Amino acid sequence: METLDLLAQGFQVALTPTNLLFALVGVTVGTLVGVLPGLGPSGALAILLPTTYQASPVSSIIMLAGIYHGAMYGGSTTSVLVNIPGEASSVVTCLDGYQMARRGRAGPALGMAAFASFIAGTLSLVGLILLAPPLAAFALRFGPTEYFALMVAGLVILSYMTHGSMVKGLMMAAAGLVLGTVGLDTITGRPRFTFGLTELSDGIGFLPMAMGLFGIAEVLVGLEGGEKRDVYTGRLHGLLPTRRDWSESGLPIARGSVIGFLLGILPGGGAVLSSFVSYAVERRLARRPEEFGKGAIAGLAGPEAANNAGSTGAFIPMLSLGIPSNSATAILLGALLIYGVQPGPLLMRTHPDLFWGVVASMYLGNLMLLMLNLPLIGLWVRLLRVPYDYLFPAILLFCLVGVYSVNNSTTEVLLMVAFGLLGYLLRKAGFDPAPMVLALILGPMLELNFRQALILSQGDLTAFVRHPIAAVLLLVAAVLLVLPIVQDLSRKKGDRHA
Amino acid sequence: MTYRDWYGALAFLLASAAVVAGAIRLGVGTLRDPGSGFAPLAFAAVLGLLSVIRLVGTIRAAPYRVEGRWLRVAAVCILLLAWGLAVQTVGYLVATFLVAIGFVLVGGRSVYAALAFGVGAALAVEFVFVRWLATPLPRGTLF
Amino acid sequence: MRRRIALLAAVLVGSLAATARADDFPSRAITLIIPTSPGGSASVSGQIIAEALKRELKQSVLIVYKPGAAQALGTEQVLKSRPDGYTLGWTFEPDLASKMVADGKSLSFGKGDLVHLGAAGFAPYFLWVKADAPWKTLDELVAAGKQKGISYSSSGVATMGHVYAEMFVRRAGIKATHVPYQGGGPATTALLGGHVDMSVGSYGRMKQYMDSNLVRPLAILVDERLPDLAEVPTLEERGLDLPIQGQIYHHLFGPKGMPPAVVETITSAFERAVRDPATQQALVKAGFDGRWLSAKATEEAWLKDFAIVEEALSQIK
Repeated sequence: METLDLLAQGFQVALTPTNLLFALVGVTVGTLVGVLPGLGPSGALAILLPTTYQASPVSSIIMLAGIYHGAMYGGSTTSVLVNIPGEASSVVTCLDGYQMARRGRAGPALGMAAFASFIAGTLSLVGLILLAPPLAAFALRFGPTEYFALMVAGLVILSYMTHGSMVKGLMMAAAGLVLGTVGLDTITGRPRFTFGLTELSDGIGFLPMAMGLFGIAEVLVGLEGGEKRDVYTGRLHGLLPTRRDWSESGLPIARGSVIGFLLGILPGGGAVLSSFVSYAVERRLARRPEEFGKGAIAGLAGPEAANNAGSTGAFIPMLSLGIPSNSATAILLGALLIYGVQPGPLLMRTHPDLFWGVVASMYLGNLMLLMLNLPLIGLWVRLLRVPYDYLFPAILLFCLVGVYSVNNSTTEVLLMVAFGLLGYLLRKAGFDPAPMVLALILGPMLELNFRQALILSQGDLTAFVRHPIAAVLLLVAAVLLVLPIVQDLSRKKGDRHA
Repeated sequence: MTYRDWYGALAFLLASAAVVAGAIRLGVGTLRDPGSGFAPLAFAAVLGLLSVIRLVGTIRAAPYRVEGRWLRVAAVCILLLAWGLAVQTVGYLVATFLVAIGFVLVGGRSVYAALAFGVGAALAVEFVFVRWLATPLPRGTLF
Repeated sequence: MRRRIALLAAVLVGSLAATARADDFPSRAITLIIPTSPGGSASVSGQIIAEALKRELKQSVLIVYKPGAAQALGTEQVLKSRPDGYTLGWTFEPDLASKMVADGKSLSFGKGDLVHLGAAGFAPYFLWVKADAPWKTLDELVAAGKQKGISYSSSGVATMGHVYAEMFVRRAGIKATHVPYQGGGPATTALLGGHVDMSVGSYGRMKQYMDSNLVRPLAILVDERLPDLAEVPTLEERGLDLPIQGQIYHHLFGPKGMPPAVVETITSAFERAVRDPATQQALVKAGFDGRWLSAKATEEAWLKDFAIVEEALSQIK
């Protein structure tokens, strides 16, 4: 096994005391930055990139990988503790992670998030070793037609995420798609539904929407309910996942890792889908799906694993083809270029030490994350003991400063408040806002790929069926859409017989 | 307040109708070369269709009561808006200080507690966001 | 009287504050907005320049990608940011000029709103196909195009990659379908995946893929062959000359109203950054030439671009 030798060599490079220190610094800074809204992983990576200049390429990439993982995990932390998703993948973490926290189980939730990420990191590393070159070639076969079909399947899966009526879930998704068309048309550059506001030309931002619909709306509901929030007064049940938690999370983590890894290798936006596809799958397969949305640990473990595996998967097109799939991998790619290393299919042959060094350091970042965060959980959980009368003002100020600092825009603050109020009303009317937020992100990609596909096929709609990958994906979407209706009908028939 | 499920469905239906009208004005284009209004039209049409399904399904649903302390919700929203509108003029320190006081008062704590929290919040923003993270928050044009 | 003293004091304090801020520039990280997707020529050259600027200014230079609407989105964000020198843009010309000529009315800024700080990262355009494409020469591609038509990707409607490709296919009499993408990176991915047959892109964007043997140049779009790639013919040699030269450069700009001292600091740091041998080496390795333009020369080149692209766009109307 030549590959394993090379990997062992990579670990030898990565596991020096200096590099371990770099990894620790990266993970620590990344976690802190990820906890603060507005400054995502890519921002943190870019800010800290220059400080790595004196270090060797391997050391600095180890630190960058640490930041990347740390920031991802920091985003999950705010989702669990105060229902504020810092980025798209954390929206799913809010659903059951926050509910666990409200039931006094913030510790196990944070612990499981860290463990699930670590396990998924390990599994996807194996995937990277075995499958990188063939998968990279496969990812390239995804053109506009295939991406369109993938996005459609993703949208249908969105409606599986919510409890209650599927029509309501689909309505939220459609509303998110409509909101996603606000801004300049990505193909022609014409403004749409911007009402002459330049701030809207960039579209409705993810952060103001997500922070409004989740963070602010949650505070509003908490305030007017007058109920004493159980988590903040109640006893905390342990800090680590229990044996039962583990038995409920094992399979979800394994499935989440596979789903995340496969979607992560698609450079045109597959990684965004990974966490919520995993959530929908777990909910579908669960023995008690009614517990989802009320603090089911499987609904946290699966998506967290998928998210981490997806970010490892994203390294495949980057390292083997030089195609960055998001701004975080683009910055890592830039770091490689600065050190005079040319990513591409030749990288594995010309710089095996660096390639496997990067792979090993990615893994090291995962490990450090686990070691750093397990002791920190107690500290995070103690935050929740702050009386709610002081905690909610802190949450609100946190949202205000966070959203404002992204673009220095008053409009975005106003948008966040508007979405907060909308989220509050939707909650009263029994709608779940998660599909809306995710559809806002998927919408522009869906539209762009649809229009590109139509241009390529010269207006021929049968193109979507003639491309085999697209056809399979659309078939899956159709089955998923019809399945619950059929099941519903047959169940009703069964009731009558009984 | 009593609420019926079809209120919400109707609201979504009206919104989708407005978007359809806007999309047609943007130009739908052809299948060979879809225009700017193509996607908004399609998305809004789907939303409208779903709203009609929901409307028909819930028209006979029983009304239910929705309780709430609307006053506190309104107060918090106004304070949030105030921060957004005032921050450029009075600067982040003053805005954060005043709005933080407001929040704590809404929460029902004493004036002294609110003042202490306001000072703490302003200092936290100054040291974490401005000093450490170099976030360019506005110092204010008033002073 | 008292009011006048108060006013005077206010002005003094204000100007003191302003100079104090200009004097210690830069005292914190600078944000460099690149208005395209990662993977385009602006991101390749931008990474190199950001690194060099960081060394000269002794401050972090933070790259933020803001793609969309042929660079209009990101450019707008630079222009509406606070004019303190901490938010700058790095765009590739003449694509932005082209977008402004084509869609000027829908944009919130005009050509006078950009303050130019210098330019670098010059590279010629090539016509590329996938490395394993059946067409080995330009003539074979033209023959295939005439027979059954081809498709090509670009960084967006009215970008120069689109304009050049469109001029070429018309000149050669090829039936072609244009598929716009959001920036050079995705346009390249589409070519690599075989979803389109051809793409016109700068040497700086495509060299890395050529070095990895993923794409093949069929022709260069300026009148002279590139010494590096002496075997690749010019379009002119094949009798398919375009009315304008196909090359790009990148320029550093900021919003109107930056203090003169700050502008001076940035422009001189930029010149030193580009002339630095390490930068020169990195630029050449990535497929750019090492030229540098002063702020004034950039301004002139920018105004000239408008005339060029107006001509070019009228050709493909």
